[in-house]
Amino acid sequence: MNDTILEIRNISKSFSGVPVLEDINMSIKKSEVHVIVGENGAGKSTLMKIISGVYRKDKGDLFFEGKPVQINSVQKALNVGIGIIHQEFNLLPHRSIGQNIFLGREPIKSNFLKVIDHDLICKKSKELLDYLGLDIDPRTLVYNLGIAQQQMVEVAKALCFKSKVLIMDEPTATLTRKETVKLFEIIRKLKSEGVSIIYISHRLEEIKQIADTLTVLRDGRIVGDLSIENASIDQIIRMMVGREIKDQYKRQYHMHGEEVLKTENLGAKRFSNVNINVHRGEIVGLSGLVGAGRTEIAKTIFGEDAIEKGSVNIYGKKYHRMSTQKATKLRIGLVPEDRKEEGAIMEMSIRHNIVHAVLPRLFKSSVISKKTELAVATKYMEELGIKAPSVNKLVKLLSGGNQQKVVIAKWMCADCEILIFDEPTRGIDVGAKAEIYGIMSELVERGKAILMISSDLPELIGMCDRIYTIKDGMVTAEFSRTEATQEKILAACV
Amino acid sequence: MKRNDYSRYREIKGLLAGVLLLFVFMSFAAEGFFGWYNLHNVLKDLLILMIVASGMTLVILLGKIDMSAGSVMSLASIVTTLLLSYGFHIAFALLGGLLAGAIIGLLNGYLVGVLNLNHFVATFATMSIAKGLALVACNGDIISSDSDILLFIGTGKIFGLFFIVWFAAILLLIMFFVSTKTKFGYKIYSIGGSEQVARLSGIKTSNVYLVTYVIAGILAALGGIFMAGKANSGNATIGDGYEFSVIATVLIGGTPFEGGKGGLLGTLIGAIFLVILKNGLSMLGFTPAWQYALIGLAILIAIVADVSINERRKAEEKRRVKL
Repeated sequence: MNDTILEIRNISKSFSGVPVLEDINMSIKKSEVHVIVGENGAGKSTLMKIISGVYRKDKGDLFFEGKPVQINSVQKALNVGIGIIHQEFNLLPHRSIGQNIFLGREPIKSNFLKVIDHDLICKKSKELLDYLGLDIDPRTLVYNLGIAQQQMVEVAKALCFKSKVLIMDEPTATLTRKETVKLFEIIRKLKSEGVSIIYISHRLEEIKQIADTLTVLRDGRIVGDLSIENASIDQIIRMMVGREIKDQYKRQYHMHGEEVLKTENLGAKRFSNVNINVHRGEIVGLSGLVGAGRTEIAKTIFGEDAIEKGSVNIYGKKYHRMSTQKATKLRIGLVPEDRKEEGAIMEMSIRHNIVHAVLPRLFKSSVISKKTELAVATKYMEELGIKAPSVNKLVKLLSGGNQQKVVIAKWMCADCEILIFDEPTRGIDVGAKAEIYGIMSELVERGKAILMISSDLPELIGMCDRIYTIKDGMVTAEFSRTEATQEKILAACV
Repeated sequence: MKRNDYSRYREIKGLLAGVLLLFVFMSFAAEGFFGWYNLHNVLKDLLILMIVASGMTLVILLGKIDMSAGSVMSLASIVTTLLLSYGFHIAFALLGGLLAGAIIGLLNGYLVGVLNLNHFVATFATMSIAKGLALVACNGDIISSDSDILLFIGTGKIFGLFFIVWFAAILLLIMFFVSTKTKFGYKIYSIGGSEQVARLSGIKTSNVYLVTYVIAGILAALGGIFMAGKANSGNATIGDGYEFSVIATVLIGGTPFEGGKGGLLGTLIGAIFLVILKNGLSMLGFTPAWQYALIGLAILIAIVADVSINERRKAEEKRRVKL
């Protein structure tokens, strides 16, 4: 067909043996907005990174305007005419708009002296900004701009390359409603001038407004192509989640113990009026889109972020201020989302990582007994099945699943009564996932209380006694285990 | 001992071989190097360096730096001799010198650990403050002392060995014990490994910064007092540029600026290496100017060697561990 600009054929990709994309076929038409939806981890971003040259594909071909192309670098993709705007912007904050737009390909005045032509940069940037309806001086430094304006600078950057295909990864995730409307205007304008947009989004209500065609990804495969006129939101949600829940969650449900964690009108930077509670022997889930405020709630309870309003009640006692030291003393543990930066010290041994949070409890005096340390570390390594030749192995050499177990071991060693798991199975292979679920079930059997954040809905439904849904920093609904379905939860999140 | 432990014995082995080689070379090449009189004096320089460097090691293990070490030495020497000249008892004079170091250390710790200022900039500023205070206090003059005890601290002997040898032996043993076998030492390594993880593990990081900088300040002041004892006088330029030697010692000893690994054992060998190099070079007739350049070269060699050993070990480990 003549009006196909980009064709994707049989693309596959796996990361360290775990398939992320399998046999993807898709074609993008000229001047259309092609929306790709899917749950977190469905493979959308990976696919986009392959098209834009960030990752290399394992198998498959790409055709641009009918001709086969090899895209093996970002530069190559840009030269072909494919631009991408990542969720996190790639802008230098302390340089001007113009300098950012022309970064790496600044026009020069003469070939001899290679003096950069700032006037030309200014003039051309101004044209681009005018085209996008942005009335800003191109000499403004980027860090003075708001998020929406920074995004426009990214768009300008892509346009400056004369991109024919523009990929936008969750462009509205951080925008306000008004800014979103503005962005849509610009997308329509680009479309009318023959640019194709590949648009990734979680927000289903937006899609109806902007999309021409829709592709649904699930577990690295395409489950359907729809034209937007005959797709309903319900249908899209069904296609997104449509997998059956496998029997990997071995939960047993008992009567709950007393309430150990409760928030009262808790508010901080990115959320407000949060009222949730957790009992002993119970796993409570927080569901929501990325950026809805789930992690912030967890970090505030744990004392990493400051409480601005309301309070956190632990074992029935009210706290208006929290700190990580206080939290650990109260036997709260946080298994953070970012294992490598916040969970474990990568450059240190398993042993050190397991004991370093519990020194006060482990050793009465300020001197450390290596014997006790070794015994404790070995005990938890065996109990959690951490696969490593010895407790002296550096954590960075372990697989993701085993690293996560080290973080959990740290809090078990600290004898935590309340555990907060933030995306506990992200980036972990299937086998290790089941093991983590097993450990969590075991913990609640022993009467611990767990607050669990996850973007993986089947996992959340499979593990939790109750689930709260969070949207834009507010609790929108609460579901019991028996009420919860993926459709209901998703509907309360978007 | 197990490998992968806090002190990286394998790298230290290489450094140790380098030290021995240098020692043998200097013994043959530099006349007057290998002899009790010279070596005993080298030992004294070594231990002054080591006392200050052991504090710096803790700071660098945290992933920070203390640029004020040299100035604190000057300040402590001035405060001590000045108090003596006002007629204070030697005990108060010494205490005053140490207190000056502790105060600058506390200021460093507060700026870095509590106010979260950039550690380099903050200690760069206190370096200037300490030096300025020292100059103001002594009016730019050398303050001479007539205290026998201060002279004894700098030059006196017990059982044929300088006083500082006995003193430093005990002090360094304590420091080694603190850094490897106590909760406090563990916390230093944790914070250096990842401040974020340490904080999210409930470690009160600001306290660790405060205490470590105070220790570093006191140890630098001790170094300054020993320097003052050597000449039995205080001088506001006594520690000028000394922080350079101290930081070089720690780096050569295998504690990288990122923190979290390395330790005092490496620093000790680094200090031996540096002092032998310095003394040997001057025995060979190199001017102090040349010594600076050659020591810089030694730092580069040590770091390049460290990087290449690390790379090789990483590759080896990757091959071995396939989990």
